[in-house]
Amino acid sequence: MLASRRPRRSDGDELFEKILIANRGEVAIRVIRACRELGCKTVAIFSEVDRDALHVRLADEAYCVGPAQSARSYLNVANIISAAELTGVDAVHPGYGFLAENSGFAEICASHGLKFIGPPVAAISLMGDKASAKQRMSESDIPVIPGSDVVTTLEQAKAFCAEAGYPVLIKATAGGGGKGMRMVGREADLAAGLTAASGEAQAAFADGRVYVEKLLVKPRHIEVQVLADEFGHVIHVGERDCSIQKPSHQKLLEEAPAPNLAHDVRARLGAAAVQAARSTDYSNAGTLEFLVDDDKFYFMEMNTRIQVEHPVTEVVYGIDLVKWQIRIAAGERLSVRQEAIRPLGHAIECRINAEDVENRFMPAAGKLGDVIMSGGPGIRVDTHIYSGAEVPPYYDSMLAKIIAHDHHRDNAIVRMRRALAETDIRGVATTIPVHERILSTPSFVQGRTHVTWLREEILQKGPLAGAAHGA
Amino acid sequence: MSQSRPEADGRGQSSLLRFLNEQLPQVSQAFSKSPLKQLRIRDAEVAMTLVKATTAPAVLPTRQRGRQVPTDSSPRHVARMVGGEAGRPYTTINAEVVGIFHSAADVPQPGEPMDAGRVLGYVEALRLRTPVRNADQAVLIAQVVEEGQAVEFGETLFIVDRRPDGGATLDAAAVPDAGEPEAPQI
Repeated sequence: MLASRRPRRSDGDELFEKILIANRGEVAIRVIRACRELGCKTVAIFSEVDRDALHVRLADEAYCVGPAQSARSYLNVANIISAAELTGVDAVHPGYGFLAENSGFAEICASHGLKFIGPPVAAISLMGDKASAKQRMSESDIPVIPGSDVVTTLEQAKAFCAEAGYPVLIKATAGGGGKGMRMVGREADLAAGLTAASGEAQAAFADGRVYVEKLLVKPRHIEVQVLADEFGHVIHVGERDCSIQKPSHQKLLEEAPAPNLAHDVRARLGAAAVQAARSTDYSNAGTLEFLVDDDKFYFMEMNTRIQVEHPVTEVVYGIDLVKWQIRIAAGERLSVRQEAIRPLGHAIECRINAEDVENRFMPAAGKLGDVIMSGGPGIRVDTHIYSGAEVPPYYDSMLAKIIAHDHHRDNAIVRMRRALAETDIRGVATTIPVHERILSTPSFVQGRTHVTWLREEILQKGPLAGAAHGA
Repeated sequence: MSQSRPEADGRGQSSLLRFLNEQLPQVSQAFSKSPLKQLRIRDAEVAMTLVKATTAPAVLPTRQRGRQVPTDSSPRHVARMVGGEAGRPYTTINAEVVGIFHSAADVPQPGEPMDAGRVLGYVEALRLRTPVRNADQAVLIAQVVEEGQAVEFGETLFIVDRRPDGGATLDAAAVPDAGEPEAPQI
């Protein structure tokens, strides 16, 4: 007699039979790959302009859920839930972006008998709202950056800034990824900054609320990956240094472990991340973001989802975070103990975006020509593009993530340079030239970077050599 | 025109798959000359959708739906289209929501004139029924989807003729009865 074909968790109990991936691009493919290896069938959703997208081809089933505009397709909850019901899925994986940190969507999934592969609704609500998250962290004795409550008037913002001092950062209470964020260096620019940040947040997250935060000068952005099961077992899976950010605060290059991080700071960051997850009854994968200033660190925000840069953690720690997301959501206990989490070597991720670096990272769109991606020892490429694919103008401009892994950071840098040299993406401008410049800059090689390093050390030093690469 | 390719499930070919393997070029050619913009053929195991591309041709992936739907009427809709006029610009009424399609109780027959606003069916999703309406005065050319069929956003449900002389040129009596026609008859 044939054994049951229903996929199983590693402890033998049943796993989800079919999962809908409520996303597009490389993260949809990343989830499809995890599902396939676990034996779960997959349902993709797509917009009308993504009909030929790779995630649609790789999934077992696919449903068009709307036109190109995200608000009517990848954010169209009714059509996504309807597709889930029609295809008989057990669970929904939101990926990152779109509905990943939308507690309302998670709640609707639950009300339709669909397991949301992510944290509990209450944790998303609490930590997704950055103001309430900071308050909870503060109550849990985790250092937080001085910040205001949600500001609804210019006077409220002025009052906070007068007390905390400039510069400040205006941030959206919902969302992340650099959207709805503005740096303001003086009071005269505050009103314009508030208007711009709120408008951008409204467009990106349908929530225009913003708050103001004291801006640290040249801190590092270091984040800690946590995994928690539904039985209270929490571990952290090391930290990532994400200090290389565009002027828009969007990350461009990440690495793990963080270079030149004092051992005790690393240990305290890990402990704080675990404490943060415990204090919010968190389960599934999440990331605690901190700003690190010498030996001090401050909680910035928590991303209640898988991160774009999760692969650097995966390759250094030998753990499949997406599979664990699915297993935890299916009720599996974490079998990984904290003491078993040990880094092996160093990993760097370069985000290859369709952007014109010389023109303030202006997103590019169009039909790709030949696409040649790198490979070979120690190189992982997560991408959704292929030769002749369309890059629609409606979505995030990221084309691929190249991850280089080696025993030592210096070797990983050399390996990444080799991978970038091999990569050839024709048809649109890409961020490859800026990565090449970063990797050959002495202060990066020495591991001495901070959140404004890219602007100061790369972008203000003149045009990039080889900027025409791939165009 | 773009087209999808049915996938066998590894347990042997269905009758539809065998039919397609043998007849796909003829089916494709006939479809290209028909007024249809989209044609779906399915049996219990395999579904195939032919779509006329408006831009560069592209191969669409084949998708097997999670829920099987009645299949006996696919050839019937194909047969209904013999009343259409090749090359004539018709208008499609497409699904705005993802759900299950249901015909209206009084859905017109092909060739029948319709007033603007007439409800031709519903798409049921999340226990809500979204009416499918004919926007302008028109003549129904064909119902493309089947009763109880799962539809995605943008999927063609009906084809209508909104040209002023549309109703006059199409005689409902000329449209053959549904019956069980030979499958390749388009």
